[in-house]
Amino acid sequence: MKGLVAFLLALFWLPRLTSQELFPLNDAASSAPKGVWGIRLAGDTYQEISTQRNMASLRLIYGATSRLTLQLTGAMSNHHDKTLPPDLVNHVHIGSQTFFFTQNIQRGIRYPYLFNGIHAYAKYRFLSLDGLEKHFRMAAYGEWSNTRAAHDEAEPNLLDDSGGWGGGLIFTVLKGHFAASLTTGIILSGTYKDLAPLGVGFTYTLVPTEVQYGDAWVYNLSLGYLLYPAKYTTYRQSNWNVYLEFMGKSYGEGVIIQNGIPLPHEGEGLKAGHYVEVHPGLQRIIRSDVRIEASIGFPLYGRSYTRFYPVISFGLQKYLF
Amino acid sequence: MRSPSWIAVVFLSTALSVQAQPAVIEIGVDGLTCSLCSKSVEMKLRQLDFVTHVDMDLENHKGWLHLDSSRTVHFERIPKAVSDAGFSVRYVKTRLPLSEIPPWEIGYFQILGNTFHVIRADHSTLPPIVTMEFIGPSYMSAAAWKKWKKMIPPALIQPNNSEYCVNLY
Repeated sequence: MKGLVAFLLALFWLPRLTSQELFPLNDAASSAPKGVWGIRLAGDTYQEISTQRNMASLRLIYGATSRLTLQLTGAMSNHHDKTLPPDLVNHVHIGSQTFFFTQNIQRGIRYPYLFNGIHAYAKYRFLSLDGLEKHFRMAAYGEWSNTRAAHDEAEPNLLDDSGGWGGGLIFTVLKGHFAASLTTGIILSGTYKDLAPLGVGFTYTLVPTEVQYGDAWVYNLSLGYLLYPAKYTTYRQSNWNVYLEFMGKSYGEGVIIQNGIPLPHEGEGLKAGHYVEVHPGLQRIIRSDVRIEASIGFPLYGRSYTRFYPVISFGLQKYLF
Repeated sequence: MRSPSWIAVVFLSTALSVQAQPAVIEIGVDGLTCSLCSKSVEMKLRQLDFVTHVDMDLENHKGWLHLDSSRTVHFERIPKAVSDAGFSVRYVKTRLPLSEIPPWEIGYFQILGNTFHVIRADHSTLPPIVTMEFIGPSYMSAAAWKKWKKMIPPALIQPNNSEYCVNLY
């Protein structure tokens, strides 16, 4: 914590540096130029035991008005199998009765690459207080996903893991050399329904299974500043920016329902959770046109059960003027 | 990027004809934080049909719009282009020879179909090269507009198209 405070103070006092709000993992409150299309290729990768989990997404961005930005993202990954894991549900016999429950699954199993759905996002900038090399902006966002994946953890994630709705507010402030953006919102989770194995020992018995994911509250803090150049003279200069993003999420418990019966859970994945991750990142802007960025994520408080660490994220983005 | 030579611009304007419209508009832009942002603003300004090219000063967050003398200039589209890029205008101004500005005994003068309502200036005290600064909520910061609003007649708070409030100095 002391190191973080020292870092933030250093950002504030470093002379003659301007700041950047083109955060790799979060949208700032600023909007895309009106009538302009953008394209973004992004993804992440992490090692899960002996398997590499990869996710890639393609996003279309459009400045519908000077204040309204629309995004449509399709993602594919090898995070999930086509059905829920056969060892997700187990059972015990007590007397003449059989009790089913969910448990931790075996990790590191190879899954195929699947396209799981699309994610739609709209952001409206409703406040702009602009000054010379400073501004304060606020935006509201809404999102929806029809993702339908055999996601077996309580934590919702509208890109690639689970469907549902979301929305929130973005506050972005920039003053001289310091930029910060706070994103806070909620996720109202959808439900996954499919035929799934009854459980261990009943792998080939498929029953109607429903996964209700927890709703979530997200809060992300993004910080950024320009490393190079110290002075802009031409568009041809490369920009190097460094970022530090904190990703927080608090979510409710999930539940597996088989044949209409909610199952108690013994594993960690379906319990309610709360975590904060930290993602330092580096970005290069080429010819004031193309963004290339990478960041690496670690758990700071708690952890997400949807992935292993470290998580390497990357992005490539361009506006098509 | 180098700012244009104002002497050359004014000379060219004088040589063209009496009552030639401005050749270059200077704008200050607020909210810019990076060269990618400046490029977005330049791209939107270049789409204006009366603009031939744009020079941006990336360090000082201002730019110069070079105008097509064969086309009518719609000054109200300039701050709109900046707004469409996602930013705000700090000022919009140009420079004209005093000889191009007709005296405005009735409070306004006209150049090539555009009407300029003079909010604060005395023709007899203006220098040979006059700076004409546009006044209005979309041509300046909110703080600057708050001061100017008190001086503008209510009928001119929202002027019609091709009508502009200006300060000359």
